[in-house]
Amino acid sequence: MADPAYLAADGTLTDGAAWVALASESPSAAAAIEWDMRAWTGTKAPSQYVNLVVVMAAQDGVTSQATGEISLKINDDGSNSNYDLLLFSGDGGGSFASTRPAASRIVAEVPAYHNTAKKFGGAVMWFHDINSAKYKTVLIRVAADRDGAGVVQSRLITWTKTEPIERLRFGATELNIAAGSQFDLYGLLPRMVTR
Amino acid sequence: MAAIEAIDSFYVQNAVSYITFTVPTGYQHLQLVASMRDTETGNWGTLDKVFNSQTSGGYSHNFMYWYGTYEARGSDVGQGEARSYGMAVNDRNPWIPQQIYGATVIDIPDYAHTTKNTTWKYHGGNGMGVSIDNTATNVTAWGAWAAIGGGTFDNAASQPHSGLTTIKLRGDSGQLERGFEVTLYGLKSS
Repeated sequence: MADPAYLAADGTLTDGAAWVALASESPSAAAAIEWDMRAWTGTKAPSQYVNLVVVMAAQDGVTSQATGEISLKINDDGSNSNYDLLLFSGDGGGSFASTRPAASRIVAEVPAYHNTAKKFGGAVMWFHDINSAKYKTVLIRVAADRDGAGVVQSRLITWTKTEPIERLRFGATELNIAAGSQFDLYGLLPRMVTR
Repeated sequence: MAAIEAIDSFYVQNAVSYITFTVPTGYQHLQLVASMRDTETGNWGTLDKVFNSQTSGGYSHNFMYWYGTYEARGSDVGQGEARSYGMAVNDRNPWIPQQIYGATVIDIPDYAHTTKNTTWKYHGGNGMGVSIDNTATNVTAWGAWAAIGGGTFDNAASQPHSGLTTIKLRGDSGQLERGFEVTLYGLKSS
């Protein structure tokens, strides 16, 4: 685990790594991914980070369809009406934009286990200014190819709540993210000392 | 040695016209990460970057953008600043809550070169009024906007380039709003 090490042994501020690896999950069986950061202390305490980044390579564990979706709950909020989405999606045949109010918590369209056990979708998600009193903005880029099918997407999600982000939960169809999926969480520090 | 370091951060307490980063040497690439809103009027806003105080033209930019169910592309040619779309603007109150800020991640690769044009690429946007967009007939009026773009600074008057030493950030008009937050990160090579 990287250590931001912005407190020297004598207690003075210094600067260390700006990106701190906070958590890593790769389920061995279909499961949801959940990080409850409220109990994290020290260099893992979320209150010290300005942004969070999640890097994901995931597959939906659903077996009845070729593609699936990864969904997000912030602070255990599962109400779609509290999330606004700007989606831009493209595949080999065209592109479209949408707000999809009934699916505003979806962070990525990904291949499903039914399609092939080897195809996973990738995404990088930026959670901005997580401790502010602003509504929280999540910028996401998705790549989920399936040998020429599949999609590339941009998603901008606004969670219309002002509280700090303290919990993240990722699920999939029937709540099953496939085994072998990978989720990594990073905390981004601001400049900690005056230059 | 950390691969990514925070060079400097700003958190605006009172509205300001601009922020200037002094860019040190010692990194290979730069990344700006911002949460942004300004006081301007209009349906959309940009986070503008001025490299090395040069505003006499030479900044060109291509981008794709979308809101609601509308998607399009555009370009800016020969401008006086490096634009990145997605700034939240202020003039649609009370329909647009004060809690809405745009977000962006801007990469500036190989910033210290002396022979290449300076390039930038970004992904940004804001969700202002997306809920309202669902029923509005003119979605552009509400300001929700997301974009992917990038460009090049090619100012013949300043050739050869001497590397990027300062970055001035501002909105395309108005002031950077209280709560505007930005960090400049430096990425090291091996």
